[in-house]
Amino acid sequence: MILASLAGDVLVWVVWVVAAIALLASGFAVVLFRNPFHSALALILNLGSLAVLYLLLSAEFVAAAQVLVYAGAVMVMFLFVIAYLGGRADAPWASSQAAVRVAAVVTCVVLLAEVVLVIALDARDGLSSAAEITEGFGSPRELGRLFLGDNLLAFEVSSLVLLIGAVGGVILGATVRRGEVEE
Amino acid sequence: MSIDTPAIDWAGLSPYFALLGGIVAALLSSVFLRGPARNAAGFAIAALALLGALAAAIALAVVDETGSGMIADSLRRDRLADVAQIVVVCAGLLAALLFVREPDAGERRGDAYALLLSAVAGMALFVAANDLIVLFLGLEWFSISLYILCAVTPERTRSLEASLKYLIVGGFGSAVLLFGAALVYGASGKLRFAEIGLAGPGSDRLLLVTGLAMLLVGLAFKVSAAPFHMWTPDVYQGAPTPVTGFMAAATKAAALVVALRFLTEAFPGEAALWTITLAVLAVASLAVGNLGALVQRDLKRLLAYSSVSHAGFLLMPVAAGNALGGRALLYYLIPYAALSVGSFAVVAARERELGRAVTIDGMTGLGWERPVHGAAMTTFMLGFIGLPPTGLFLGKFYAFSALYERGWTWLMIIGAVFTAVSVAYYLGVVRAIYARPVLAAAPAGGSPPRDTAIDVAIVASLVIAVGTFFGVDPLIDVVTRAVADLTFPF
Repeated sequence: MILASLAGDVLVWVVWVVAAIALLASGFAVVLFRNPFHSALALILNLGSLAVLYLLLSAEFVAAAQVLVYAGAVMVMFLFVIAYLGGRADAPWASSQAAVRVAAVVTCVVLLAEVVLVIALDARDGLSSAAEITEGFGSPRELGRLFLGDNLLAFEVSSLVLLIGAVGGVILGATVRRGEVEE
Repeated sequence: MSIDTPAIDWAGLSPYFALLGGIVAALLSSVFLRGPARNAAGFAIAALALLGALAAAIALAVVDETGSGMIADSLRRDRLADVAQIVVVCAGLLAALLFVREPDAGERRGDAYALLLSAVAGMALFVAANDLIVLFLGLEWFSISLYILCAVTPERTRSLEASLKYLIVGGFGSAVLLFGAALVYGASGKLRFAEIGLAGPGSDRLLLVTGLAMLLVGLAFKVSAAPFHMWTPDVYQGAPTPVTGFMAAATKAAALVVALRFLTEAFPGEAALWTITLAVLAVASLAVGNLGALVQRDLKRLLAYSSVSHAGFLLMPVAAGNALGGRALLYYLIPYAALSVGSFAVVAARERELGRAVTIDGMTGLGWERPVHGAAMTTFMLGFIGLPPTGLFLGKFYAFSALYERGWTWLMIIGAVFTAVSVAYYLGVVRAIYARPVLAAAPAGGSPPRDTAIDVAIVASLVIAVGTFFGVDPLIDVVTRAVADLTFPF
C-alpha cells in the first residue's frame, strides 16, 4: 500500500519534471527558432506542457480549455496566418530596436522578482490575503453550475458577441475581395 | 445532478428578441436578395425590428412600477433601462433612415442594417447590465458592431482607417475596463453591482479604487471624454456619416446611463472620489472639445469636437451625484441625441449633394438652396449652444442646478464660460448657412434626386429636439420615475 502511494508520488514527480523541462525548452525554442513556422509548432508544445502542469494542479477544466482553445483553435489560426504570409516575417527580434529588447529584459526580470518574492513570502507565511481555495474550485462541475446558473446570461451573450464578430469578419473579408476586383 | 437554472422573464427580454430577430432576418435577406430588393428589404426589416423594440421598451416602461432583476439578477428591468433603450432605439431608427440612400454603402447596405440592429441590441443589453461580466459583454457587442459599421463603405480609404483606429483605441479601452472589472471582482468577490456596493472595500481598498478608476477610464473612452477622446475626431470624420450620427447619439447615451447606474449602485462608499474624478474629466472635455472645435474647418470634425465638449456637459450632472443630477442627465440625453443625429443627417444630405466631404464653406448658401435643411441645421446649432427652442436649453439648466445643489459653483462657472466659447464656432456654421451662395459651392450637374428618407430623419430630429422643450413637464415626470430606484450619494 505504502509502496503504491510512493510509486504514485514518484510518477507525479516524473511527469512534473518532464513537463517542466518540455515547457522551458519549447519556450526557448519559440523565441530562438528563425523560422516562424517552427516557432509556432514549438508554441503548441509549450501550451501542451503547460496543460499538463495544470492537470497536476487538479485544474482539469483549465487544462482542457488550454488544450482546446490555445493549443487547438488559436494555434491553428497562427499556422494559417503564417502560411498566408509565407514565412516572410523574421525572427521576433530580427528587426526590433534596442529599446524593445531592453523592455523585454526588464519585464522578464520584474516577473522573475515577483515570482521569487511570492514564493519567499509564502514560505514564511507572510501572505496576508492568500486566496482560499475550496474543494471543487475550478472543477468542470462547479464551472458548469456557474455557466448555467448565476451567469447564464453572460454565457449565452458571449456566444452572440462571438457570432457578431464572425459575421463582421465575413462582411469585411467580402468587402476587401470586391475592392480588389474593382481596382 | 441537477442544476438550478434561473427563471427567465421573457416579457422583460422582449426588446432584445425583437432586435435579435431583426438581425437574423436582415442577414438572411442580404444573403438571398439582390439589387434594390435587398436594400428595400433591409430597411423594412430594420425599421420593423426597431419599431418592435421601441414598442416593447415603451410597454415595459409603462408596466415597470418597480424595477426587478432578470436572469439571476444579471440584468435589470427597470424604468432607467427602459428609457435608455427608448433613446438608443430611436437613434437607431433615425440612423436607419440615413442609410437608405447612403451612396458609399453600395451593396453592403443590407449588412449595414444588420450591424446597426446588432449595435442597438448590444447597447440595449449594456444599459440594463447589472453585473460586471454583462457590462463588458454588452460593451464589446455594440463596439464590435460599430467597428465594422465604420468600415462598411470600403471605397473610402478613410472609412477603413477610421475603423482600424476605432478598433485599436476601442480595444484598448475595453481591455482597461475588463482589467478594472477583474480588480473590482478581486477586491469585493462579487459581480452584481448592488452586491459590490454592499460588500464594500473589504480588506483592500486600494484594489477596489484602482479597479473603479480603470472602469471609469474604459467608460470614458466610449463617452469620448477628454483625455480619452483622441480617437473621436478621426473616427467621426472617417466613418460613414449615418454611422457617425448614430455613434454620437447612442454610444454616449448608453455609456452615461451605465456609468450612472453602476457608480451609484456599486460604489456608494467611494462617491466623494468618483464625483470629483468625473468633475475633472468634465472640465478637461469642455476645454479640449470647445477649444479644439474653434479651429476646425471640416464640419464632421467640428461636430466631433462638439461631441467631446458635450461629453463634458453630460458628465457634470453625473459628477453632481444627486437625484437632480440623475434626472438632468436623462433629460439632457434626449434632445442631445436628437440634435446629434439631426445635425449629422444634414451633413449627410449636403455630402451627397456636393459629392465630397463637407467643410464649413461647403455649407454656404444651404439656407437659401434648401430652406428646411438650413432652418433645421440652424436650430441644431443654436440648440447645441443651449439656446431655446430646443430641449438642450433646459437640459443645461437642469445640469447646472444639480451642480448648484451639490455646491459646485466653480464647475457651473467653467461650464458657462465654455458655453460662451462654443457660441463662436456654432454661429460660424449658421453664418455660412445664410451666406450668399458662391458659384463654386453650388452642386454640379443639377439638383440631386429628392431623398425623402433623410428629410424625414431631419424633420423627426427637429421635432424631438424642439418637442423636448415644449413637452418638458411630462418628460421630467418620466425621467424622475426612471431614476427613482437609484440611491444617490449626495
